[in-house]
Amino acid sequence: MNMTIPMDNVIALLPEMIIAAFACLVLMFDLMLPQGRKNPLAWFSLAGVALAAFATFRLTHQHISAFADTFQVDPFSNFFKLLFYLIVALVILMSRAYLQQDRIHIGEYYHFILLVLTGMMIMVSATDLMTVYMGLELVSVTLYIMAAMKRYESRSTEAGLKYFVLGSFSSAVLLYGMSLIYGVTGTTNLAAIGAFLGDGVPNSAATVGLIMMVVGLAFKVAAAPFHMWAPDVYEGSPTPITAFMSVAPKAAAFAVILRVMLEAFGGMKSDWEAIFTVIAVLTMAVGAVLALVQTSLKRMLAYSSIGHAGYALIGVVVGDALGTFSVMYYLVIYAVMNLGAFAIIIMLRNQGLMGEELDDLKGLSRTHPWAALFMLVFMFSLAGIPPTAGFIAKFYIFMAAINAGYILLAIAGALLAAVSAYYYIRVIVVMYMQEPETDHVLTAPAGLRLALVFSLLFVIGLGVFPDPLADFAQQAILSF
Amino acid sequence: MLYVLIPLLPLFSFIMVGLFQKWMRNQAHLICVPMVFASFGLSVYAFMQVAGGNPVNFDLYEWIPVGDFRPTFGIMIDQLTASMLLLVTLVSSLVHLYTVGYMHGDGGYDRFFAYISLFTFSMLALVMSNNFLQLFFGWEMVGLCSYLLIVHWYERKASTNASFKAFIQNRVGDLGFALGIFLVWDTVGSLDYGTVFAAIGDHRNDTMNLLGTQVNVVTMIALLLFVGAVGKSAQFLLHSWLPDAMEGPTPISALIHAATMVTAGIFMVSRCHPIFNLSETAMMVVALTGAFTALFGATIALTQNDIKKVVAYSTMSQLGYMVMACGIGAYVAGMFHLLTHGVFKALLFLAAGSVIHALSAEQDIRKMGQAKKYMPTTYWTMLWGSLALAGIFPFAGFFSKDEILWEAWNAGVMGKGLWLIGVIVAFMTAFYTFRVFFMVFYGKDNMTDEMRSHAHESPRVITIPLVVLAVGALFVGWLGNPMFGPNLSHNFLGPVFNTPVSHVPVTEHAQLQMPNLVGEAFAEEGHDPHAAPAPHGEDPQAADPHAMAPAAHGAAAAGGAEHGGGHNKTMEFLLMAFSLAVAGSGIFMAYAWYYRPNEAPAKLAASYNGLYQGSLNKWYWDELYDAVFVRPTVKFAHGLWRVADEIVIDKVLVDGVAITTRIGGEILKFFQTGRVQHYAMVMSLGIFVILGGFFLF
Repeated sequence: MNMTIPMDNVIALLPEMIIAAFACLVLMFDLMLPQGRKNPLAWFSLAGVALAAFATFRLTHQHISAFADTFQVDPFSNFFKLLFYLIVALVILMSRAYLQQDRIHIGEYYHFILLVLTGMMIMVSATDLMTVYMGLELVSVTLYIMAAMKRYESRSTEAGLKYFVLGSFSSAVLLYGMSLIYGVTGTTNLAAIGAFLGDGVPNSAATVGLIMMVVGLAFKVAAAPFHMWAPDVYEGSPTPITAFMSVAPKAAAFAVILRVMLEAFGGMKSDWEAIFTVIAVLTMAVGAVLALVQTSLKRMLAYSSIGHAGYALIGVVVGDALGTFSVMYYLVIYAVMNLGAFAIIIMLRNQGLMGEELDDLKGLSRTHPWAALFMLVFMFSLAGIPPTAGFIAKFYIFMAAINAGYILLAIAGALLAAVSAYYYIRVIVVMYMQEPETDHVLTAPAGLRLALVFSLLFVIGLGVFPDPLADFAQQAILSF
Repeated sequence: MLYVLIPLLPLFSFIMVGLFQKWMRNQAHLICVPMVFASFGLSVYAFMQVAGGNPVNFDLYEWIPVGDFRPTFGIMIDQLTASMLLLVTLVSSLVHLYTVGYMHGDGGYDRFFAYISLFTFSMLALVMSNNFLQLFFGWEMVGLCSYLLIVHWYERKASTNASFKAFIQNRVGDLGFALGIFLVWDTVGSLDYGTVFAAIGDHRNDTMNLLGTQVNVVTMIALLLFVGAVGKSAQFLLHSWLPDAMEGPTPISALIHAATMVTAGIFMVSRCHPIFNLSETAMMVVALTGAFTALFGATIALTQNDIKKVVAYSTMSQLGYMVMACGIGAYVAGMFHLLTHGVFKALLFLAAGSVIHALSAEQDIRKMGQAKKYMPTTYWTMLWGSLALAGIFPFAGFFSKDEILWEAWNAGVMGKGLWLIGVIVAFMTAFYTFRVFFMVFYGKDNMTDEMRSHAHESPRVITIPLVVLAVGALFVGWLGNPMFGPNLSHNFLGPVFNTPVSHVPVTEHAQLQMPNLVGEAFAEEGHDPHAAPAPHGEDPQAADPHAMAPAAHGAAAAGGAEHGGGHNKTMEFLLMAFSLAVAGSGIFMAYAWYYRPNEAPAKLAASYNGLYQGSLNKWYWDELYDAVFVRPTVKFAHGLWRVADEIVIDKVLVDGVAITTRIGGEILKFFQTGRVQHYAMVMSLGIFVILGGFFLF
């Protein structure tokens, strides 16, 4: 192995380096800005994201394998990186008012977000178990801190602690699985593992390793029965961070699942397919059933986010080109519509109003018709009702499943989607058919407005013109 | 691409008015009226372009492709579409304008404008479609808008009932229509007009199994599509919603239930002529349904006392005329009548609306009379409209109706029968039209003092559209004048029915040729006057309606009868003179009975009481439907509600599922203790269960 770093590798890592550098610079600038005037950091972080996006754009259709095949730039990873940029930009735009309100508008927030971003970018580009784990831990550890950012509030610190304990537990399980795989195959490189395992020669150690890894990754996407941390953590964390956590790391973990399962364990598909089928159905069911009994809007969305992971898992089970495509498509749509819904909750946070209960939405259509209309569109989209993008996303998932013969799975998904429609529509009922109880006047700063309008246009636009994104995603899966 | 704006402008006004209704404060017309006029301007432009020989056909975009099924939205503007565009946007523009005056002060003013804009968009999307799916989309949308507008005064029981009736009867038709489209897809594997019409000829002998008997697929498609037309165009059996739809505000009756939406069925049959031409059976059904509806509607219109109901039944009857024309293959004649009828029927409705508006919302003609002195403009425009409907030279209805009659005369033995029905209907039409006219403007003054004191001419925004339409009612017929100069309607519309329009899809394939089906049918005859596309311009041949009317050949083919007397102009003139005399005598009879107060009608009604009551009660069709469909359904539904819904579904299923889910949720919630050690335990259990499951099974 050559210890000098070739130029190729630097170029491949350029977007990650930009983001990591900005993450450090944010900390430095933070020192120069007085308390309570941290707005420039938001713009600075956005600039970093934009710069990285530019670098990624330049690499869009390239295939570069770097750092002794542990890191790879390909359209697949670039697709996810672009999605992360979008998510981070939207989250930064929508979070400022909330952070100021809750006195946590501190420079570290931007630092953490960029660090998580770096970690996620490494995750999606990782082609070695070691890099996978490195990215994953960078993301997880940073998220533990972010969950506890509202230091003065016990809910938030509790969320951070729970997340940390359970996250460490799952990381240990994941690592255990990885070590077993290494023990069996003698390599941590995904392609080499795939080559070694070949077409599924029965090997119980490899199977145990695979199961451990599946469990570890299932924890990261909050799939049942490894989802139990999610509602508590999502509810306790500050809302913008919840919004971020519920979409970005989940998407990154799905990218890892796709790459690891298809590249390293392609030969053992029948094994992991069975596990993921059970997990997918359980996850959808838990998401649908438990969301029904929630009175907290935030907690309801937490369960809804669990449920959505279940639908994306259907695409993983399918595992062919169409399945992969459907997962990628689903994640993009889910990210934007979920952020949109969270943006409304962020907006509800106001002097004297936590804005986290379902009842806080009562009569929103009277007092704030626009906010209600936006929420209505996001709810319809989450429920998967045309002409919103949520419909198209579910449509592709079910189509992939039916196409590959997983009819029962598709039926289960469709039925549970119908159940989940109930609580999305309940939100609409509360907004449109109940009388307002408070006379709070909500304000939406420009950034939040921008994020909301963008999400709305995105959700409607892709519902009507799904093609551009579909083409893009289709090109991205060719790299497999 | 400019054409895209034609439907999008009204859609834009719908979205604006719909979203910002709160801020409209009864000023919605400031957005809607300019938009629809702009749309009209663009339609005129499109019409010129098409007349200049530039029909267009392109796909705009594809939604989600599913295998071979590619739902696309596209635009096709050929002569047929161009004429419809002109009619729809013209009438819509005038109705928009009229609405400003008519709905002034109405609580739902802005809502009304939002919906008529949406309707205009839907209707334009329907006629501009280049595939069946978009046609269906427009078809359903216009139905929805019609429903929304009929129920505009939703606090009135009659309105809501009428809207339900319209919606449900249309659903019945739409079901057939949808099945027809499914069958098209199943047979040809495409929904694109060009592809379907090119390929349908290859399937002319295909059969399918229908409840154990083999039936011809093309016939089946044609009949199913026609079921849709029956619903939308209020043909016999699905007709009774149209008169009831008059519960809606009058501008709607003019726009939707006279000029545009109800003609969608005729438009669709004309559009699908390559399918219909292949099936003699279907053509016969179409022709007979049309003829019967024409007669049926006319007989009811004779005795109705509600001014709008008379016009509504007359619309139904005239639609029957058009459908009959399509059924004998005289598509050009049918379409031409559609266009002229659109103009003068909109005029009659708007004029009736003006009368109603002026006479304190009174609709019963028995309570009117001598209204001439109060409203001269309405009087004159209504006179022109009535003359046009009665088919008096030189008004529009004369030309278009006589063309249908002439085509019928030439369509074999069955055609002669249809011609006879047509003439009888023409007589009745002239009579009932002028019955209303005389009862409103002459006759005995039956108005109450209050009505008299309020009677006034309508404001300018109402009378201007009337005048424009009245002028149209006079001149538009000359476009199809068979006597001197070129017959423009044939020159313009004729080519649609025997030449292809090349199609430029977004993705692949080159030109698709629509086969000259009618031509094929006649190739063996040795002479084929329309094998070449009909020439545009001043070709003297063009003046000859027969040489220029490929439809007539199709008719003869469909009727399967002899094809004679084609070039016989003398005969045509004779028939014209005859029908003019018939219409004249109808008017004279109305004059004799209703110009002055008269006992004759009452005596006649008394001596033929059965017939009179039958006609007055619409031949008891509503009662029949009520007894056969409505009441059993309601009873059945009531039973279902009591047993199936309240007990089985509500108690057992819904409550059961809800309780089970809730209990499930509560149980799961019980596990969600909030304690980390429990969570870790569940996770570990999960791992062991998966491992165990894996190695045990």
